[in-house]
Amino acid sequence: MSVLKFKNICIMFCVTSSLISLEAQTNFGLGISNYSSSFAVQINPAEAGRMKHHWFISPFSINSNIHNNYLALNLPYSPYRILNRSMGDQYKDNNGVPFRNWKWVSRNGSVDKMNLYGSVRIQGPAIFVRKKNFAFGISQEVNIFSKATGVPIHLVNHQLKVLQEGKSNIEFSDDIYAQLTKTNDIQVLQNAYNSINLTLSRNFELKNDRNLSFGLTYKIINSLGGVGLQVKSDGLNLVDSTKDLKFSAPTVRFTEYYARNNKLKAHGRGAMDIGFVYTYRNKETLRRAKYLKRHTDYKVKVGMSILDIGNLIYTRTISTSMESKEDLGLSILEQMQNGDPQEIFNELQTDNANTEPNLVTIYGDRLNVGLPTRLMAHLDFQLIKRFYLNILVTKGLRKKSVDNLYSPSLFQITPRFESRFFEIGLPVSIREVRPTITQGVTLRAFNFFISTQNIVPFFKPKKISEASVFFGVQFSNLPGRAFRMKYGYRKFSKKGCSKF
Amino acid sequence: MKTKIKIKKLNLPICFVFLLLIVCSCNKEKSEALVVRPINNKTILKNHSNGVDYIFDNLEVNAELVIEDGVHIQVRNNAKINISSKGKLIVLGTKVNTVIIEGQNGKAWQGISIVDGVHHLKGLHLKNASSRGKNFGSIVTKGNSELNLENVEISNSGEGSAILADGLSHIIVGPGCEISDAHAPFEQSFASNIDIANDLTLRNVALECVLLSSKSQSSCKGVYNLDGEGLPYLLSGTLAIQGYQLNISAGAVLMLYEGSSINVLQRGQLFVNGTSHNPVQFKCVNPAKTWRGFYVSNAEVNINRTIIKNVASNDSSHGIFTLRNNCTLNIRNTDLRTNKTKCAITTFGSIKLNPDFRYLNKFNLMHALCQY
Repeated sequence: MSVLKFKNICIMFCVTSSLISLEAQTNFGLGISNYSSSFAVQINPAEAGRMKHHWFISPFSINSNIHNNYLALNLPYSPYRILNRSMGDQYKDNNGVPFRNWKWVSRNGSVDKMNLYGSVRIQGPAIFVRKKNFAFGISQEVNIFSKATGVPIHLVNHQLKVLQEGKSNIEFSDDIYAQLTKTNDIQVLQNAYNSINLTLSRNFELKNDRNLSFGLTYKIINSLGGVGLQVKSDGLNLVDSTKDLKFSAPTVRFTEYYARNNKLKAHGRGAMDIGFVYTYRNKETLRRAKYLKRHTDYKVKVGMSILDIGNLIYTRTISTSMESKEDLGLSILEQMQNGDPQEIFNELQTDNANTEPNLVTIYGDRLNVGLPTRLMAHLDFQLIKRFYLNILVTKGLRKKSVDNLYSPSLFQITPRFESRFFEIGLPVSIREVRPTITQGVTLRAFNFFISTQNIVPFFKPKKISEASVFFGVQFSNLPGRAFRMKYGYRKFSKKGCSKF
Repeated sequence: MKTKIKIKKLNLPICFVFLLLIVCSCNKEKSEALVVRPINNKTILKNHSNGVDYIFDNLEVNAELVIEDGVHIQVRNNAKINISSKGKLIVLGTKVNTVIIEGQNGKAWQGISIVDGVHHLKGLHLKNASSRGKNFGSIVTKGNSELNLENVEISNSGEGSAILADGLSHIIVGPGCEISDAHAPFEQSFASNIDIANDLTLRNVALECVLLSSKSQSSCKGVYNLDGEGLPYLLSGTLAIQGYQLNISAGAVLMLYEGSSINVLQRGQLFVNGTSHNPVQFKCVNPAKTWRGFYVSNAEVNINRTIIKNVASNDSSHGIFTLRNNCTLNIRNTDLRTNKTKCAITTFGSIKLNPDFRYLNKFNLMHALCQY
């Protein structure tokens, strides 16, 4: 493929992806690497059909991240020192335990609502087998999602003050009362589930040694429980300029989700990932390896997938909702003009003492929590031998409601070098939560993978508003002769396994 | 080597059997029940599983509780459901999807206690609410409560009644109701009222009647009525009508235990109004035994179209009616056969009588009137 064609593809890809509003789960360029099959399948199940390996086993991998747009940490030492408590003694108490200083927390003054997202995925074991153009795999994973969106910053500040001073009876500030007059939609949702994933992928060999691979992962889901909270209000609205103001009292809904006890029985329809990958090869990259009996290299790989199509279903739920029977009215307009927000709120309470909220608790309601369904598109281009450029874009397909899980979206460019035993990538990411550019790093050494999307805080621990880490282990029939000889695997001859 | 091969060969089937055992044990149906917390706001319980949906443990209901069709509830051993004055119980079961409330693991629990308010129970099966024993019911109503039942089955009430209506409560037993395995279907105080539909089914019930509780008689005031429709009444002991008026309607059957009596005292009034087709009956619960009749003092008794049976007394000065001090007895068209007293009416002191002596003289077993 000519340089010009490549430029055109990249420009089209970048322009198209920039038009899409960003709202989905983060991922890493490592996932599309040719050697990271178990992790690539998590991004696109079609990767299983075109993988190099005959088989691979991943006993364990963990992928966790947290981001927010309001609070940031300014640490006096690198975060990695927290793991082994190797910070200076001036940062430890008399018992050698590291202490925290609330002054290290800084706030982003340009936002008025805080959005926070976090997720942890623990996968393993995963076993995949490929026979000619078919691949089948089975894996197990546990996912934990958290989100808090639309939280007024004054409420966050109040809570930080409570934690800082250790008192629970701190009065609300005027800013919080003033916030009540504005439109609010606070959503907090935390949920977890585990699943057994069955993957099936088929690779089609096309003309000119190109490939098209389709894949499907069906997930048998077991919901593990969680909580959800929504506080919604339309604030203060002027009904009539000469007399009345209407205060729309908040609607509050709090839901507890409990896991089922009968875990082996299917509950609901599960979830699904679907995807396809198209692989293009030019003359330079045409090399059919004898051992693997397929082309293992490519010039361009384009893929698209839709992940987590499905819902968590809960039948053991306790949901309490509160709605005011009628909007609260305030007939003294003059007082509103010069009044103190707290006094106005107190007067609302007094004047409308008879307006009782309608409080209802429902047990056993069948509730769905939408999985973070998202569209993922990736482009992997081999610049020169062993050097690749990967572009990854995700977009959320779920509505931003309190009953849906989702993670912020991502636009990521990852230049990487990969070889049989070693791989390094430098993903550059932009995320929706806090649209700043972050620099990460991905590493593979033999069977071990580790990466983070934000490496800078390790060197310059200022304004840390997000954290992410990925770690995994994978064993396969690759990398090759050295591996097989070391472990006494002598089935194949020297000739048949020399190149991949 | 051969041993190693044998062990290796055995490993796989052993692992398979082990896995199978784990899967089988994990696959045993487990309860999906949720424990319900005290009810302080409107609460709706929905059916969410094929087995037990909820567990109650001494549940306090201080607001409206709605139980939807198909819900299965178990109550912990010896626990109860208390509906307070602010509470309201609505059960919306159907014939196909009945609501079941039973003791956990088949054990006894204390039943439902209702203090006030209007409550509706439809399509409900109440089981094993028997741990309070005699003189209690699976459902106990007090105060000014009103309880409406439709397609309700109450079983295994043990030594108690299915429903105890105390205070001024009103029970409406609608169509499709069934009571089984109880000492008696109903027990009520005088002030309370039980309306029973015609198709009430009783199975394996020791006493097919309404027990009239003598517990709260001393606090009775005003006018009370005993309806003639439905089940016969069984007085739990001596009935004392003192300071209040008791009306007994046509068709009512009052049974008494051996040796007990009906005492109308101190400005008490008894009005018994049978009809020729539906006379009121007074008799002993055991036809082979006898009771002691009416004792009237400073009170008024009016009896019309009534059958009085099985009265006997060891004291020869006592009659079917024993009158003392200032009292009034009006008696008409009353059958006094099968009684074993010396006199039909015995008087002591100044008495106003208006008996129909011609009628009374037909009964040749006794004297009509004995004055002392």
